[in-house]
Amino acid sequence: MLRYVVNRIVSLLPVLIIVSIIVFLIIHLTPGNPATLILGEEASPTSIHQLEEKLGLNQPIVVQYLDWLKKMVTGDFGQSVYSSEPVTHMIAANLGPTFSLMVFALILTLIIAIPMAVIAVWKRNTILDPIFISVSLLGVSIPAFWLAILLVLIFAVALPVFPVAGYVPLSRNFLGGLYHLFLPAFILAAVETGLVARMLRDGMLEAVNQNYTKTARAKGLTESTVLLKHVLANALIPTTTVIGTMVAGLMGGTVIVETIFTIPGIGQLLIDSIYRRDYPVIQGVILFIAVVYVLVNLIVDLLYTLLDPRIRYD
Amino acid sequence: MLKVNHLKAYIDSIDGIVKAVDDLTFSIGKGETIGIVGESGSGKSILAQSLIQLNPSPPVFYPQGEIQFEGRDLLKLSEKELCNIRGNEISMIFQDPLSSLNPIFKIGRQLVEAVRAHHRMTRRQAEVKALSLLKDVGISQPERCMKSYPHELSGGMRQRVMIAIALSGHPKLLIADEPTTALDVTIQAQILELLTRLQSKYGTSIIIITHDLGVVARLADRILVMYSGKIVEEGTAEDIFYRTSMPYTWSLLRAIPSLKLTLNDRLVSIPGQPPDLASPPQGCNFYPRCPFASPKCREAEPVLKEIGKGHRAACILDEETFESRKKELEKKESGGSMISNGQGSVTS
Ligand SMILES: Nc1ncnc2c1ncn2[C@@H]1O[C@H](COP(=O)(O)OP(=O)(O)OP(=O)(O)O)[C@@H](O)[C@H]1O
Ligand SMILES: [Mg+2]
Repeated sequence: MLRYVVNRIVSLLPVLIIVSIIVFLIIHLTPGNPATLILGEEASPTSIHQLEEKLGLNQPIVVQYLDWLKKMVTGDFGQSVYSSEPVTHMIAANLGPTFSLMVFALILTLIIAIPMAVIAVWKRNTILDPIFISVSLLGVSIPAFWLAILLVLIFAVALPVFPVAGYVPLSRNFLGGLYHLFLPAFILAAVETGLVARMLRDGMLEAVNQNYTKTARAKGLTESTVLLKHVLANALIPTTTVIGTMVAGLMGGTVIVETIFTIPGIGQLLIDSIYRRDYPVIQGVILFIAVVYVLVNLIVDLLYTLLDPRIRYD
Repeated sequence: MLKVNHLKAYIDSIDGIVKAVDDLTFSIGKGETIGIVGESGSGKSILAQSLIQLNPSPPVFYPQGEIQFEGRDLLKLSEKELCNIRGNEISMIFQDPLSSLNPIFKIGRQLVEAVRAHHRMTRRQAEVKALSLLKDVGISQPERCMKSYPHELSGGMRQRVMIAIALSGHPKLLIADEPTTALDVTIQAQILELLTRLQSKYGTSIIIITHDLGVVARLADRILVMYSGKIVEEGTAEDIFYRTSMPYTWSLLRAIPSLKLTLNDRLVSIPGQPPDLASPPQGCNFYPRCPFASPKCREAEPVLKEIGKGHRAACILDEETFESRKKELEKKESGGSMISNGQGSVTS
C-alpha cells in the first residue's frame, strides 16, 4: 500500500511540472512587455526597469523559470504588485469562503443526488426513470452563470427569500453564514448533481442485476433494504471517482459564483487580480488551484482503494 | 408440500415473448429431493426463480399457474408476504458462489444479515448463530471466515457460506440452482455430501437443478427432465436411466462421456440447437433434433402421459417402437464407435 501511495505521488510530479511551466509562461505569453502590462502605458522607463529588475524579467527565461520554481516549491509565492502583500497571505485569507462554499456544495450535491438516484432505480420501470434522465441531462448542460442569474432573479429579487449577495463567515455566525451561502452552493450543486446522480443511477442499475442482489432478495430482505444497503453501497464506490472531476468543476464554478454573489474567496481574488494585472497573484492562485486539484484526485484514488476491499496494493 | 400447477413464466423480450417456462406441473413432498435436468437455456433457472419470484419482473411475467405452498398460492402473495417466505421457508443457492456474495461486505455481515432477516435477535446473538451455522456447513475456522471478504475464500468455502446463508432460516425447501457447476470435481462431491447430510439433519426438501445427470442420479428421489420450457420426462432415477421413454432424455444420457471411453470413441452430442423459445417449432419441440422423428411428431404437441407408476413422458412413440428404434440406431452406429448409453457408467 505504501509503495502504491509513493508511486502515485511520484507520478504526479510530471503533471505538476507541466502545470508550473504553463503558469509561469502566463506572464510571457501575454503580448507586450510584462512590466509595461503591470504598470500601464504611461509608466516611466526607470520604473519599468526597476520592476523588471525586481521580478527578474531581464534574465534568460530558463533561469527565470528555475528561480521562480525554486521559490514556489519553498512556499514563496512572491508579493502582490498591487498591495505588496505576500501572495500566500492573500490566498490564505480568501481560502475560508471558497472552502466553505465548496464543501457546502459537495454536501448539497450528495443530498440531492443520492435520493434522486435511489428513486430512479427503485421506480426503474416507471415513467420516473426517463424523467430522471432528462432532468440530470438538463443539470449537466445548464451553465452555472446562467442558472446563477436565473435563481438570483427568482429567489433573491422577485421572491426575496435569500440574500442577493454577501458573505458571513461561518465561524462568526454559522446559521447566518449557511443562509448566505445557500443559493451559491445550490447553484454549484445543481450543475454537479446531474453527473453524480447519473453515475450513481447507472451503477445501481448495474448492481440491481448482479447475483449478490438476487442473494439479498432471496434472504427475504425488503426491496428498500436491498437497494439502500447492497445496491447503493456497491454503486457509491465507483462514484467516488467522479468526486475528483467534480472538485474541478466546483472550482471553475466558484470563480463565477463568487463573482456574482461577491463572496471574498479564491475565485474572486483571481478575477480581481486579473483586472489588476497582478501577475504574481494570478500565478500563485492558479498554481494553488492546480495543486489542490491534483491532491484531491490523489486522495480520491486512495480512498477508492480503501473502500473497495477487492483492491489491495501490497 | 409444494405443488406447481400449470405454471407459465414468460419473458417479454425484444425478440418477442420467450416461453421460458411453459405449463409445468409437478410437486415435491416433505424431505424429498427432486432433480431438474436439461440443457442450457431450457428454462431451469427461470423456473427455480419463479418459485419465490426472484425473476426480474418485468421482463418476466406469469400468465398462468399456481404455486401451492402449504395452503397458499405463492403467485398471489404480496411483496411483503413473499419476503416472509424467502430465506425463511424457501431458500435458494446459486451457481456462482463468488458473484452471489456481495463483494464489498464481509462474510460475517452477510450471514448475520440473513440470520436477523427473520428472527428478532441482537447482533451478538446473531453472530453466535452465524458461527454455529458456519461450523455446521463444515468451515473449520468460522471466526476467520466471518472476518473475510468473499474474494478471500476458495470456491468451495464460498458455496458453503451460501449454504449457511440459505439454511439460516431453517427453510422447509431449499432450491439449489447448479450449486456445483462452478466448482472442481472433488469440491463438488463435498458440497453434494454436505447437502445430503444437512437434508437428513433438518428434513429439508431440496430441488436441485443441474445439467449433470450424475449428480441427480446420486441425490434425487425423482428427476424432471426439462426441454425448452417443458417437462418431457419425469420419474425416479431408475425410470430415467433404465426405462428411458423420451428420445431427448435418451440423447442426454448418451451425451455423458463414459469412463469406458477409449481413444477411438466419438463423444456423442445432441445434434442441432435448442429451439428458439420465442418461436418454438410446431408440434413436439424436440422434433427437429430427434433421431426418431416422424412426420406425425409435427402435428401436435405430445402430452406428458403416465407410462408407469410416477413415470411420465411426453412422446408419441410407444415403449416397444422406442426400444426397437434405439437398438436400430445403436447397431447402425456401432462401426467401432459403440458408445455406452450411460447406464451404470455415469461418471462421478
Ligand atoms: N432477460 C431475458 N430476456 C430474454 N430471454 C431470456 C432472458 N433471461 C432468460 N432468457 C431466456 O430464457 C430461457 C431460459 O433461461 P434459463 O436461464 O432459465 O436457462 P437455464 O436452463 O437455467 O440454462 P443454464 O443451464 O445455462 O443455466 C433461455 O432460452 C434464455 O435465453
Ligand atoms: Mg441456469
